[in-house]
Amino acid sequence: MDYRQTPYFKVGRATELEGNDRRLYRFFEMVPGILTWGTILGTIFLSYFFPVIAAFFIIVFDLYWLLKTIYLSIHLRQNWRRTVHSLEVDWSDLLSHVKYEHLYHLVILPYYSESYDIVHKCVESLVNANGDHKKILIVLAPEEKIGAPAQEIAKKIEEKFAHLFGGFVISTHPFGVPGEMAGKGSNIAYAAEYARIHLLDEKNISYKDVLVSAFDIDTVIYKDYFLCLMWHFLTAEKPYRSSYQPVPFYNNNIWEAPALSRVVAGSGTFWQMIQQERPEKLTTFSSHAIPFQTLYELGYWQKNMVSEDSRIFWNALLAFNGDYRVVSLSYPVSMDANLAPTFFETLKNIYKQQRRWAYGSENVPYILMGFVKNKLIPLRKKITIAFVQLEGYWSLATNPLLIFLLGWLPLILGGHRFNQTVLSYNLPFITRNLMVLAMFGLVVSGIIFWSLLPDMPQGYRMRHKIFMIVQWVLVPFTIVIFGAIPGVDAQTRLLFGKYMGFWVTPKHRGGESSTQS
Amino acid sequence: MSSKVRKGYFVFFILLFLVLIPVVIFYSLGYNISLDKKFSFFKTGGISIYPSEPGVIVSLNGKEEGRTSIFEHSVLIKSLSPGQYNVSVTKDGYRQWDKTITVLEEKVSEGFPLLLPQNLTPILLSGTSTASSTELTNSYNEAIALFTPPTPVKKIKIPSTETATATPESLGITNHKVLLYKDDGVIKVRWLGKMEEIPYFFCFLVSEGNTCNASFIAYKAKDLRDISFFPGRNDVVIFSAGNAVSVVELDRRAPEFFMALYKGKMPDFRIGKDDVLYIKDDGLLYKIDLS
Repeated sequence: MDYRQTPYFKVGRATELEGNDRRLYRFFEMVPGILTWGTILGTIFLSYFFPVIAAFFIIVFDLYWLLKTIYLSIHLRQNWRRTVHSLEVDWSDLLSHVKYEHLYHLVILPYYSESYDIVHKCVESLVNANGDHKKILIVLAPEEKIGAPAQEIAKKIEEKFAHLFGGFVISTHPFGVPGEMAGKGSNIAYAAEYARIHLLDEKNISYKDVLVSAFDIDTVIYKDYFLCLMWHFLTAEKPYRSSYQPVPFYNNNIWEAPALSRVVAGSGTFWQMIQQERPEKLTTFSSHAIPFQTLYELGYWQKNMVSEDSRIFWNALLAFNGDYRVVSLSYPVSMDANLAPTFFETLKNIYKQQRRWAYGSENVPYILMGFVKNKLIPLRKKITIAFVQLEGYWSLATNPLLIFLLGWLPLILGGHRFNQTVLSYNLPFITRNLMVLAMFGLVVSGIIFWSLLPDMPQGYRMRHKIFMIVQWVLVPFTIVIFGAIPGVDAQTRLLFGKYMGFWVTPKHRGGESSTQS
Repeated sequence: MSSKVRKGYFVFFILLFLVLIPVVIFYSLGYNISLDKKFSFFKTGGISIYPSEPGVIVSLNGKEEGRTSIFEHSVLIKSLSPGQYNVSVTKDGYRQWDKTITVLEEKVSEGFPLLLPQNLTPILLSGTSTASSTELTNSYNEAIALFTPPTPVKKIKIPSTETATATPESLGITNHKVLLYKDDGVIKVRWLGKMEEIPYFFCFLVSEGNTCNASFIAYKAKDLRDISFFPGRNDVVIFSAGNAVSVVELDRRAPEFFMALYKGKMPDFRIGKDDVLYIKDDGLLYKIDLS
């Protein structure tokens, strides 16, 4: 069975299927929301009717959360050491022991309304990267919808940088193509095919020799990115059955961004670092790399859904009957933290971005459908992956609410009889003490975050740096407001079939804006 | 980390979780280990005292168990073997509050001490206005306004669940659904809300659980005149009877807290703003600050 030939391979939502498949897919779309709302409503129900059971559940859950926090922090510290080491490694020396000169890098840079400065900094970092630039092929991919301003940026970039690379094309993504959802996925899929024809085929480059890096336009790579990527590709167990994931640091504008934005961004980085130590749980996210041969076999990224960055991994996993993985590079790329002209606009953008990322739960029905239809993937692998994915989205949406809000419900709803029990008195004590212990991990987070900061710009004082550690007291607030609630929001939309479209995060860097230059 | 090391961590934490679950659950239920009885488990209870102000010392059977502060306005004493305990609440300059509280397995008994200053000296009020007694003059004016003409008190009619005993004079006052009224020289209390929400002083903790009565007799007094709730409390009553204005707790656990705030001839009282008690006795006006 070639799963790629099935009607479900590139499905984006239930409405694209028919009959029982549609009904089944629709049910799977509801599963994350049912689990989340079942937990929230179940806690409220239990707190009112069975407060003792609810109290037990909350205490056991808090204990689980404490131990999970410690367990994950071990992974975080480990990947921190590995990432720091990766930044210090002489990748040129490592590569000198393998044959790599045949490899090319195809860098796809989609953009929408971002400013010239943002595009410029991204491309400039590619110029400054170590390695043979004649082996770097650039595809600048503006959206036709933006019109002349985007084209002007492309032309200016081409004039300044094109001659420095082995190839440079501008692929303007047409607007309003039937069947496509406007967004990054449809753009980079178009750009990849454009590059295949106008770069790879024209230059007679073997698809097997090309590594595709699909970057968000605010991505600024570190100097040895291409060397690190090549080394991991060449030493991977199954290089064409692997994607390659760098660690996203949100350092481009970290000193200008408000504390809430920094904490949210840092939390995202930490989560990716933790996952880098658990590659069996890692999926592709945001800026990532994949061999062009593999990408071509998969028919590129999906054009009909929001989370194309993670979906390409699931496409591959199902297409290759479970024989696909993500290789952790443990090497960073730098991107933008959320920053808007006003504080409240920043908060709004953070929320919307987190909600879009939480909408990755749209992969759950795709995965479950694929596991039902693809009989060639081992059952144990299906169960493990399904559990990990469902638990992950459930945790995101419910855990902060359970810990910081719902934990008090038995005391409020349990009634006078329950409130006279030792259990009701111990519940807040135990909950508080477990959470205080868990919060010690924030000290570690603060130290790691500090160590990964770029140099402090001129005009900033030591108190700004100290606040980079103190800001982590905001975590109880951010994981609820910018973690759980967007998660619930996204899953609820999927639950009721109110599908989301792609939302472009506006990019700002201290005085710059994403409006057209 | 190698896959083997990660699996090792995973298994370790799973095992730790499974081991800690019963420990935490039993602890939360109030179980304790008896060192005297060969490490056997026994159920405990607790006492929670709510002085609601800082600087209060709570003692159990003569031993200090906790103090309140600006951050912590209550004291919880846990891991108590079931039985009776003498609780004392003290604060410098205040009258000691004592109560014998019964502790049951897996239950927390509560106490809400009434802290009154040891020296509650009534201040005589007069109508003379001088630069140094403007405050007293204001108090005097407030007292006059409260006593004459008779201040209408918000009263409600007692629900007629009793036959014959309710008289037209039996109109009471309420505070958070606790009805306080006088009936033929007797101060009575009735709970008007749901039984599930009944306050502690309507109940006695017994071995089978709570025994709660929705109404009871709070105090019997000769020549009972005015009654009112103590400011900010629905479990303490101020009343005037005989030659005194007194305060009594509705918490019937021994020893009962009773204190005469003022003794004179035939005083009456009103409660003014800011928890000030005004007393009128033999044509003179006094005030006592209860805050």
